[in-house]
Amino acid sequence: MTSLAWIFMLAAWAVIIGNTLYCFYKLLTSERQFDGGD
Amino acid sequence: MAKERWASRLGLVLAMAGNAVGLGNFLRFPAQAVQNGGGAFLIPYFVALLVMGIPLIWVEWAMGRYGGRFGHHSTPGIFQSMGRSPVWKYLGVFGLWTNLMIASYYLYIESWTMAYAGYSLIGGFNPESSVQWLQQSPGDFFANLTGEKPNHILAISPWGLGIFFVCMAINVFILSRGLAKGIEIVSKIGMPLLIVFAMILAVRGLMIVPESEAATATFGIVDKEAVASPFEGLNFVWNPKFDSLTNPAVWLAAAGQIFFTLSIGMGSIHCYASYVREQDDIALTGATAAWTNEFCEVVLGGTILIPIAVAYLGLAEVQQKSGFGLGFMVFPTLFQKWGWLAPAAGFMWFGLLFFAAITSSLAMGQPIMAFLQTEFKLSRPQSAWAFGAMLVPLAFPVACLSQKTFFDEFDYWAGTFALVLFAVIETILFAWVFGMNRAWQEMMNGAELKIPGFFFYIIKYVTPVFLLLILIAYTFQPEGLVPTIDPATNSPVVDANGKPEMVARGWEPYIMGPFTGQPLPEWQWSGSGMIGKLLFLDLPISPTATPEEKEFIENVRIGRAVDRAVMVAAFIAFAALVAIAWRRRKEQGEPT
Repeated sequence: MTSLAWIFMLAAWAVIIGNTLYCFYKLLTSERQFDGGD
Repeated sequence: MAKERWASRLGLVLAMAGNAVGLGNFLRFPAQAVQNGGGAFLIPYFVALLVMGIPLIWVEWAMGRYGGRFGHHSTPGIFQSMGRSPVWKYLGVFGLWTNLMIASYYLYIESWTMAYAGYSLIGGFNPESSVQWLQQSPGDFFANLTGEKPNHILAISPWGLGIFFVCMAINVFILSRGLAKGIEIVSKIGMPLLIVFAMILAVRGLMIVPESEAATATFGIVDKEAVASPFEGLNFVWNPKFDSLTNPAVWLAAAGQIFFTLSIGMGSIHCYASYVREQDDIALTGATAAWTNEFCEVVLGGTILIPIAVAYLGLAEVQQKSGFGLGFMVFPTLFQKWGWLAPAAGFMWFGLLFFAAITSSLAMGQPIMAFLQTEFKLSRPQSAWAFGAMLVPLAFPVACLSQKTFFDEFDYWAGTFALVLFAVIETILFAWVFGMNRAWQEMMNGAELKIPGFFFYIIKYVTPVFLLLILIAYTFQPEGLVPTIDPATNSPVVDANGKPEMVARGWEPYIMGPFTGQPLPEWQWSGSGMIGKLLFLDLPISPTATPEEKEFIENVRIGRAVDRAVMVAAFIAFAALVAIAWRRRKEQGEPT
């Protein structure tokens, strides 16, 4: 693999994994839950 | 009737992620990347994700939740609740129509995963098996399953057809049993399992070392059948190329893939979101589902199929064979290297793909069912079976004719073009008709994630302009034939007859011509543009074609013409149902 390909791939992965983890962190530490059925 | 609501927060996120994570991530994304030049595809893909995918996720969630407040759970009603003109409900028909069209071929692929899981479990794909029937290669099994034969318009496989109908029946049955229960349970079990297995596959795939490179390899498993390093495939995907950035067909493919994979432009997100309460968060929930999907698609999906396929087939053949079927050829070959684990691995992988696919296909049925339940007061089972009844006449030609006809056409017109068109319509409605200030307030209502302020301007200006540009450029795409220039001599290359060799550059010569002073090429429609496709320019008959090949292409053209008539008829039928529903609403004094 070329260096450019490595940089492109790792940068894209970092953004995607970072955002995914951040969202799950916010979600799982949230105190709000949806109510059950009404 | 008690109103259906989501049982838990995590359940909704997993259901949404399950809806988004499907065959698009592990089979369609790699195929699209290969067909559109690997690294050349990924740049438009990420631009599309930023300016269309992520903003539209929030737009659709907000629209769905807003419409749900008025008791609407499908896009005709949701659109009508946001725009005053009666035309919006008819534009919302796309949110029903697209789901039906996509489901009719998506379920067919889903049935392949079922067949592959079953055949793997009983020890299939094993050339050393004592049972002859289990010795079939993945390619032969695929041909037998689909009935596809070169230059044959009919592609009938009775048992393939049987599995397809079983698959449809399973979907309809689950749909008839309810929203929260069925989908949440399937997602909660299937999603984490699928992600773990995909990670294992990615690592194992990258460890393949072809025998020719064994001496220089520092790690990995030497494989006699491998013809290239899997990293060659990874390099093809990730080495950025800028030459196709002026090609609208690549931009449309990238936008289409973003929409397909995130289930945007289909009306299914609107439907799910319409069951969310007014003060519940949608910003964080939508973002979580979207980024989980991107993780599965780019990090996992991009690392599994193409590297493994390149390792066993070589890059050139992968580029030729690329399509939904590629994964069905490649994975069993890899699993056969795992010895006694092969049946379990094949069963688990294709079984999990089936899980991923079924959560997506169930989501496709929801908007149509919600429409029938809300507007025609059908019960849930009745609406589920009505959806099944609509599917059968469309699914039948998908399964019985060459994939170049109904299958490819549905994937193209409904699975790509209509998604982009629907996104244009909903962005204009949300940002310009409903009003961006109200729209932003609606998105931020109850938000547990602060959406960055620049998305206000992206949604209002960038997204619609971008979408419109892609649609216009793509619709009118020219061939843009220019002479091939030999870089060594800087002169035109000529063929054996002394004629200059021409290369298709699309819009590029027309855009750059005024700046470079080069003469503009004569206008010709491109076969990869919309008008070119309507004129069948993507199905040329070569002068050297055999009579059999000529007859096949002529039959494919007829098949596509019939298919287009069917698609138009289905749209008109949905529009008629909407008209009847609104007349009834008026007569009964319900809000219209």
